[in-house]
Amino acid sequence: MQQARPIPRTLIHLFFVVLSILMILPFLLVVAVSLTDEQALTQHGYQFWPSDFSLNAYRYMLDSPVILFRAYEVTLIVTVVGTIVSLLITAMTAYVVSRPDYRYNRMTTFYVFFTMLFSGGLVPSYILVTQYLHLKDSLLALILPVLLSPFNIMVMKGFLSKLPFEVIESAKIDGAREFKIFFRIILPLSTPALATMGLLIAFAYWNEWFNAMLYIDDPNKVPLQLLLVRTLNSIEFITANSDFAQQLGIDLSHFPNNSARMAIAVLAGGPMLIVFPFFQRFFVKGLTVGSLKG
Amino acid sequence: MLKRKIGSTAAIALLTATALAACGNNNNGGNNAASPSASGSSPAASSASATASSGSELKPVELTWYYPLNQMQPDQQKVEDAVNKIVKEKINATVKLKPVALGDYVQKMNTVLAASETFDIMWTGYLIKPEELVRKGALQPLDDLIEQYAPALKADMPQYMWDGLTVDGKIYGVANQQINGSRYGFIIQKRFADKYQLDTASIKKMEDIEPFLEKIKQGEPDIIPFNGYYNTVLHDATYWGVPGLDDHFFIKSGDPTYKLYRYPEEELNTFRLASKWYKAGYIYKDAATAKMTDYGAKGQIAVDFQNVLKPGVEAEVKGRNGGNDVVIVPISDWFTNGYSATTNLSISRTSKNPERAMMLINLMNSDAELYNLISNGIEGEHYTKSAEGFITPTADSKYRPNMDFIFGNVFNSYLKEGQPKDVWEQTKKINETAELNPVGGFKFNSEPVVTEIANLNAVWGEYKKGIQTGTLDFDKTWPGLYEKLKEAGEEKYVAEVTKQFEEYLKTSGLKKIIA
Repeated sequence: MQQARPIPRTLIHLFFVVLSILMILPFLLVVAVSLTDEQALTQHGYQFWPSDFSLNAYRYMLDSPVILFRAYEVTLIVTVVGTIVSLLITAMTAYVVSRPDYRYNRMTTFYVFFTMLFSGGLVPSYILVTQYLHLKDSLLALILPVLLSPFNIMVMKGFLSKLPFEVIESAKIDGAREFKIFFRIILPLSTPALATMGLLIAFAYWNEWFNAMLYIDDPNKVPLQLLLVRTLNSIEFITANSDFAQQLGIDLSHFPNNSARMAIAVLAGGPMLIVFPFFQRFFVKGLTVGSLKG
Repeated sequence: MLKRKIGSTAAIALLTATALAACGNNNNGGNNAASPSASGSSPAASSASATASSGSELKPVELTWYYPLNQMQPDQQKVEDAVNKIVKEKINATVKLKPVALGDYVQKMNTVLAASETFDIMWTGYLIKPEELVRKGALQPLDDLIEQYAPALKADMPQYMWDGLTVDGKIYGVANQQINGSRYGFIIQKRFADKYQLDTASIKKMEDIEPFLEKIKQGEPDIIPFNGYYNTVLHDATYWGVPGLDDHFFIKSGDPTYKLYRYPEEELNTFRLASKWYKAGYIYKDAATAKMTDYGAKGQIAVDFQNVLKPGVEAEVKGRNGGNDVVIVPISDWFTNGYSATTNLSISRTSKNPERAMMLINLMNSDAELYNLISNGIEGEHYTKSAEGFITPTADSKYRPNMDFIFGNVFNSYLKEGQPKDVWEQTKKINETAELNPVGGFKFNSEPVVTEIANLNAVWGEYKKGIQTGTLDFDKTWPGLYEKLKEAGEEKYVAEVTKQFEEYLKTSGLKKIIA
């Protein structure tokens, strides 16, 4: 038993090393391809080490930096505002349904849960956003639809209901009102859950493009991901409908080539990779600090 | 009692008032439409210039126009402002341009239409056919509007184009005139044609190019001799393809019985040829999976096969061939299926100002300045125009949609560098003289067999590239493929097509009913 111990550990390490490599390699390839000369790409295919180093793809992308920076700005605003507001509302909703002394607890939970199974669908949502809320070409159209996810509420509720109810009671005895209990007691206690939720929500906002495609026509309000998706979609589309392209004489030579596509991917995904470690540190810290002691 | 009476009197009075008001409104509306000059004393009249005599009496409106673009343009707003300057002056309207990325267009428009959103003009065509939109009730008929606001356009366009946009006897779109005909053949890089002394006159059918491909294979190890057949041949000496189906139905030319042929040997022979050439090494070994356009763009493909060898195509495909000069070798005459609603502008049912929308469409088709502005950008900033009238986009132009056919009549566009001077005259002539498919008017209603069509498409999707490039040996693949097609509902589909086709022959009077 004692002898056998070191071996599994190296095995475990090995397993995770391999796993990590498998996850990192594709991304490295994307970076490598974005730095490869287009000609070399056609000749040798994708390579981990660029046989012909070139920054042309980035030059192409940064040729009209205004669009790119605009897109960054939009995505950042939406992500930051969206995450903060969404986190707050999610936590509030979850807190309410997690309180055992709330009489319509079950009904409200079911009401939230129900939307996970059935949703209004694309067209009704579109009608609601454009014709009743009049949010077309507004950044709110990117924030509101993703604001509350029933799944997040359920996870959050799961966490909050594990907090002992006695904490709330004692706070009450000390004379705290509901808002004070929530902001002073509950929120600080649930930092680990909030950090995880925040990360999930931030990802959702960062990667959101479908709502933008539907609701944003103003070129100044296009988020980063839509920019990326559009470029890829158009290329896919043209290659899939070559009849159409030929018949109407669409010139393919102006489309971003392989390396440019990878460059967009790097520019769109890169910041999240830098942000993530910070989040993670906070997340781990939150896990250890936030728990109840004694 | 008294109270009640007063109440009902009041109600009646109210009703009458409403009715009167409604009548009044109607009258006003009617007057405005019928005689716009009656309200000519509006303040707008004095401010508008003399050229806009018809526009001056119109009240200002804003129109919304959706269309697809393959890439969003950085200078969109600038061009939109310039467009609005002209539109404002001519018809006292402003237009909100709403370009949508090509790949998103169908989904976005379907959502917009399903939500009954208010907008005026949309591009319809190849991707999103006016006919299906009419069935959904999304478009409004344009006959009266065209009659009233675009009579010149109506006369200018060949009748068969209007026919192509007619659904149940009503017109639902205005075609953006451009080339409407096909002529297939080879596009060959000139440097190789010269080097190996290709006698272009000797090439009459596909097989004739074979010796040339062999020479290239021997002499140019880095060059891919032939690209592959990505287009179906829809008309040759013996057959006409039946349009609107899956490109595998044919009739024999000059056959008075219009018998339908499914997968005739002639069609299959093209695939056999591809297999043969693939084995001989004329087609790139990874052609089925590689992105061949990349190789083309590097000038690494010697011979390409294309469906629409239109006038001026040499200049157009130069970029696609790595900037090398090309020669074209057509192996068919011009032919057409009639107009299959390839690219048009239609007016939405939800439009509040259909007559102004029509005026704008008319303007797009008649005003060369406006049309070129929206399709090429601002002169001097986005393109330069040479003394002979040829335009070249400026380097790093921030407005270069490169999709002239989306906006209006292509015949109004400035000549691009390298196009022959009479390109539009030639094109017009082709549109008028191309041999017309005898069954070009056939429109298939796919509803009864949607599932089968989806299944068949899935099967074809799996094999198509393989057999077009010859990667799959055709004679070995075909029995299995046919078996799969049968499973997918081939027979039901054929039966439905045959039934509808027979009906079409009867109603169109093509086939005399034997009494």
